[in-house]
Amino acid sequence: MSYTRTQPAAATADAALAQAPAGRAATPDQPTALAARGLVKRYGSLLALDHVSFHAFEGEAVGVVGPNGAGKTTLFGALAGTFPVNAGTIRFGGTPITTLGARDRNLMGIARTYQVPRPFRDMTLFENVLVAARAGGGVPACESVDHAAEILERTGLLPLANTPAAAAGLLDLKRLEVARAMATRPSVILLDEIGGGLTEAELVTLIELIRGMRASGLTIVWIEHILHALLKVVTRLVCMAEGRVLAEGDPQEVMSDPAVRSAYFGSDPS
Amino acid sequence: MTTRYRLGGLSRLDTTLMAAGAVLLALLLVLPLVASPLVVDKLTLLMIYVLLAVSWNLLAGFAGLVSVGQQTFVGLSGYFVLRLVEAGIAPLPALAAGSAAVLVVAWPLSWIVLRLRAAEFAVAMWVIAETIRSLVMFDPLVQGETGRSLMTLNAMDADLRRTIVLLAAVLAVSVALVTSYRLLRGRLGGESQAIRDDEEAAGSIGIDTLRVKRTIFLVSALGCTVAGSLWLASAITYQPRTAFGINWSVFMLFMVLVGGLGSFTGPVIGALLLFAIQEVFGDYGSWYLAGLGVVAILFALYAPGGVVGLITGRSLREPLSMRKTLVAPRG
Repeated sequence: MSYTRTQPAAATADAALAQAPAGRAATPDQPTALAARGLVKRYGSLLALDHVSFHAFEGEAVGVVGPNGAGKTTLFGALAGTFPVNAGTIRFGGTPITTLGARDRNLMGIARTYQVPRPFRDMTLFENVLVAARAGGGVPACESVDHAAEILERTGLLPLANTPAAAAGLLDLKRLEVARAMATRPSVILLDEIGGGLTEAELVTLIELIRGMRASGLTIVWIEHILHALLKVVTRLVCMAEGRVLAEGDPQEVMSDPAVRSAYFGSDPS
Repeated sequence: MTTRYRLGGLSRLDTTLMAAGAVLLALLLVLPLVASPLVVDKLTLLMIYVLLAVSWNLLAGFAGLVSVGQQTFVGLSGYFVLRLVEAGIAPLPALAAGSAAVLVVAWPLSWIVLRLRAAEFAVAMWVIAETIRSLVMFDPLVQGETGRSLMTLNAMDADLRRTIVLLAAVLAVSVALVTSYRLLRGRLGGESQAIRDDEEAAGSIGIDTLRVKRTIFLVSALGCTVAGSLWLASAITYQPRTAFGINWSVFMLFMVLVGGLGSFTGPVIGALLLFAIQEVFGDYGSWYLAGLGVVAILFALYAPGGVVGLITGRSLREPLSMRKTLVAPRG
């Protein structure tokens, strides 16, 4: 699969706005937590995001699917401010945040996890969560220990609290990604393939956890390959391929969309 | 909300070590009453080593900022003291003011170098040390290679000067140990270690990475400048090649790598080791320096945790560890 396009894409945000699907814009009565328009991210000649528009309503759970290399993780990087985009705008609530860095966006309430876990390796799982609670979550010192312990408990990591991250297994590090993001007390959480490699029983626990987050009012955006787990949580699905949004809307409709089936199963699904 | 969980406290070994350290430092304060001038000078040197090792470990061990240019601050403080004394300020206040004045250089410097990563930062710091040394050597007061003596300090009673310098050095080491312990046990410690382990992830959880690195950089620079002033006060002669010498970085690297990078007790152990090795092998000149390098390399290869790592590798809890442990409620 290649990102390279023969036709140069329109580079301005205005052009992107014109391209954005009209029927999917936020309705006035339902406030958006996060809204991106016409996002472009280039890596050399590679077009990782090709005028991608995306939104999540407050308290909504949105799933993001697509084949490997579709640009899903790049979209998360753009939304979380991990790197600047080449074009497009991002709004958090009503505030433009396109030019803000990852730290400022986290302080505003956007937290992300990393697909390949990036723990603080020489710190324990508890210390990983504690530092996030103090910095991004602004939790005062006196409450931070309980706050961190509670999150470790919810993510099933409490028995490993005093284990250095370097000594933890991949599944525990994936849990730690969620725990550390939660500790910053976000209003929007971006979850990047946290279900991969889990057993069915562990998936059930994970789904419970994410449902619990949603029940507490958190907006959830979840990239996941394990569709049946994803569909138990999300109410809207966005499918990406080759740096673009192929389809979005009701999960069942999106999954039966011919373009989506073609991207997933090849040109001939039969 | 009732507190259910708490942080693990100090072990008996920790409190014993703290008490022993405090007693030893207190003994050093009264030592000039009985010890020979030579012993007082040597112990001052040991204190300078501890100060340098603690400062470098703060930077490299806790914030991941490996620098081979901390001699910038050692050399600059001496130069500032020299200039202040020349301007008519009494030597002792000049020594204190010279140390503080270096921060005027370190602060703007931090805005530039802390945007560099890893090896770029390390090399940039060395280049800066060499550049500032060249500039200092242009000052006619320093007379290039020749250097200059602190005449007014030399005019003081020698025993009194030695005593004052040792007392100041013991005080500086005490402040450095207590300050770094408190900083590292607090919020800054966790944030700097997070940056050391993964700077991008640290930013993503809301850590102000630049501010944390700058704080550590300035505290570390201050430690080196105080060490530089103390060294000038005991050596009296200021020579730019020595004051800005790469030897300082070699010593700091050796002490921290051999003692234990990123541990609280490691640099102190490393300083004691370097001091002991110099006492025994110091007369062998360049062979001795080569020996230091070989030992440091062997440790880096086979015992990356240094002496502290070797001790704790045998299932003993790290003494005076910076680790925050979560303790479940009783019952």
